[in-house]
Amino acid sequence: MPMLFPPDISLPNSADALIDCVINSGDLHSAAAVYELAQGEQKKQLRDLLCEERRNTLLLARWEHTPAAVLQMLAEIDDETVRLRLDKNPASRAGTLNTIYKNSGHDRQLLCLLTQHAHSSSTLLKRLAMSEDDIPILKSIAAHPNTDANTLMCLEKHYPGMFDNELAVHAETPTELLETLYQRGNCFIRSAVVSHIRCPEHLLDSAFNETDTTILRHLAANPRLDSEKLAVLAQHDDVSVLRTLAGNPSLGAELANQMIQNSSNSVRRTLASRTDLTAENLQRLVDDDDHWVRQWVARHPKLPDLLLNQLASDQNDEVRRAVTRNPQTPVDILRQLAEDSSVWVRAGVAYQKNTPADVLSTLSEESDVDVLSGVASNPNTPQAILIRLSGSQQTDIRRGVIINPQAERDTLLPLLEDPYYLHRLLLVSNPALNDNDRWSLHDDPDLSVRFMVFKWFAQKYLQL
Amino acid sequence: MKTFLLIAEHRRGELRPISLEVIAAAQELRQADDKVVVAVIGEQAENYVADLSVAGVDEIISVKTGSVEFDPDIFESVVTSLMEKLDPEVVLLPHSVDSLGYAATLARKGNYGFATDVYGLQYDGDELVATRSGYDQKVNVELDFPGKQCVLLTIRPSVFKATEESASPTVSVEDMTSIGSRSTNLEFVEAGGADDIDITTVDFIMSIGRGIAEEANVEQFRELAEMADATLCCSRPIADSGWLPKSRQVGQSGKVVGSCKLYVAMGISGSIQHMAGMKHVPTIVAVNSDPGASIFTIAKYGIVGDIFEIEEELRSHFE
Ligand SMILES: Cc1cc2nc3c(=O)[nH]c(=O)nc-3n(C[C@H](O)[C@H](O)[C@H](O)COP(=O)(O)OP(=O)(O)OC[C@H]3O[C@@H](n4cnc5c(N)ncnc54)[C@H](O)[C@@H]3O)c2cc1C
Repeated sequence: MPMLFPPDISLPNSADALIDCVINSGDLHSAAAVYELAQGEQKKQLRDLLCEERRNTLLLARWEHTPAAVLQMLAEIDDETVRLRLDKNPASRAGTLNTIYKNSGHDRQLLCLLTQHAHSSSTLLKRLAMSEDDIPILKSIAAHPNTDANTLMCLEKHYPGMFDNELAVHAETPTELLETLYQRGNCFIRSAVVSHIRCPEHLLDSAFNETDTTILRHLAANPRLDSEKLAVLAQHDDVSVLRTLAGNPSLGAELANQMIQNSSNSVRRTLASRTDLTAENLQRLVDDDDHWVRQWVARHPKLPDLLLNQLASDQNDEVRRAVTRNPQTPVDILRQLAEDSSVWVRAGVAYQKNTPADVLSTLSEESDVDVLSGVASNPNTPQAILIRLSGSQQTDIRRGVIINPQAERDTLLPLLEDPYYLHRLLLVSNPALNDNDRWSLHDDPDLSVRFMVFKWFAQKYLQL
Repeated sequence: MKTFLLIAEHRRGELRPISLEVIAAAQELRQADDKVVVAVIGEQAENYVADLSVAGVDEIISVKTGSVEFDPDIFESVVTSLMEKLDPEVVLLPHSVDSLGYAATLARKGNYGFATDVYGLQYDGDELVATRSGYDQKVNVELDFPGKQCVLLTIRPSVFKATEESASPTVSVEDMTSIGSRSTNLEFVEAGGADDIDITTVDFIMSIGRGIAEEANVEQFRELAEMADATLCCSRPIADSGWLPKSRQVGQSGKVVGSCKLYVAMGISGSIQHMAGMKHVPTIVAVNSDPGASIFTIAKYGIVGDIFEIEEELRSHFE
């Protein structure tokens, strides 16, 4: 690759110097990184660099990292393919999408993409709803989370019954429309209405008398149900209704503790993560025959140490693994599990934030990639071990060190020359490194690393 | 008339499915009067003859050697000796770790034409043309082998559809137990690791991504995968956080799920790097709350919705 930057160029000491450095290099991706920072003549030069070749413009319009300001500038270019790519780019902001709309010439594909883009504004969606009559486009508008209540009502007014599926789940659908949907909808529409945050009380009452289990299941999940209704639903014989009820936060301790006797595994599995269970029932779940129940309860935030201890000796690996992932598990149990026969359990200990340094040191002698990656990323791991692991042949383990918030500068410095570009990319924003360390990557052979370096410095100047 | 020599592969007493796919690959090239010979090598080679007796095979050579499992030295010597005897125009091997252990040496020593990881085969007139990918799977490269009397190719798994039609090829037995190896087998160590599932060999995968939000939610997708008889896999952020073993990661820096037929992606955006491991799967179902998620560009069925709601519906279905 030809050299883009002169050798040994030192860290620029101002925004202007940073931008000049990019302009002199002619590097497309670095230019995209500093574009927002530039003004006047420098901005024009960068724009020329970015738009000099159509190929590059197309590339930037699609690239996932292209900054919003560059996408906005590209939206002004009169090129349909560029617009199409911008429309598909998740990073395009509302302003860029408005510009695309202005210049779209009612191209159906562009409009369709606009109605699906997460950043399309409610104003744009409204305008599209008023001016378009294409059903798939209108359907996307009805489904778009940014569409407001007025627009939804308009759609219903002009196309009654056409968008019931979308309207029944849309968070902005007004109460009166929900009533209409419930009256005319099938069991799925009625289920969606029953789960809707704005569902009026009397519709919940009507749903209570339904016999369809899909509707009752959705009703059973609704935290607005009163204790009387919850108690009646607890007598239902459909497992899916009972399981959903078991997860309802409003169920209350009394009902939850009653339901623990239920013969369905899936009901007890759901109950096992509730925090309102009595000690006696927690014990019952710990003794449950179903290993998934024990697995769920092993993660329970209020499980007494005694029960955690019991589960730490469970014959099922996944249950013991779940104990290692419980943030409340005491250190002595973690010590015991660090010597477990299952690698996946020991890996759980290696990733656990409460595991002490001496246990991590012992685990660092293992050869398994999951255990070592856990040790490498654990903030309690001693620095000397991180240094050793940073020289591992395995990329996952070195990456563990890079994402470890306690890894010190000296540990990370050799990793600036890591052969895996993702690692160098991650290091650019690592707070343990200083600006000169970061700058050493400005002429990296990988374009995304160079981009990240210049973007990091551009952001720094933008925040000043 | 041309002769095609195919090498079968077995591990721990089982014929590997790729062996039958290599037979299928040979059918792309053979003419009516050509001969397809399959060699199976090992101390108990005869055990695999019945499974290899499928349509399209003319002869099976069961080569008895002194080693039960694969040994690169022994395979290299046996295949060299078979090639001297049969003088094949084309030798097809599975693209696998076993073949990587001896195929290149064999090709170099014999000065044969050579290409690895081939997924397309045809004759252009008399010229054999093999297709493989280049530039990190971005382009298809067509290779021919001018001036080569014999071409040796390793065949990508899960590309050629194995036939189930049985047949009665002639079977001959060769004793090559005298061939020695430079390596000695001391003991068999079971591959360790947090996981005993090789995701490259399973056909139904449910995969979770950052959409699952927190570690506690992994459990319910594990449960669902078990109910559905699927193997639970993940995108990189999940494996990097230690929520599932690294061996379950699909993608560029993870694994390519070569045998997968159905891939259900839950809360995965569909980055290029993830798709590198699964975009070939014939049926991809994607569940994502963002209609613009890239995963939908390769999905056969897309559900724009909340993975937890879909999980709930699927669970009720399985109950
Ligand atoms: C060199 C390199 C190698 C890489 N190798 C790999 C690799 O091998 N494998 C890999 O996977 N990645 C790899 N990556 C990382 C890759 O670039 C992506 O960062 C990663 O794939 C993103 O994972 P994700 O889709 O789970 O997360 P995200 O991109 O964050 O996507 C999460 C998705 O979940 C959706 N979502 C959120 N909540 C919900 C909900 N409740 N219901 C429905 N949907 C929801 C969101 O809309 C989003 O689309 C690599 C990257 C690099 C640079």
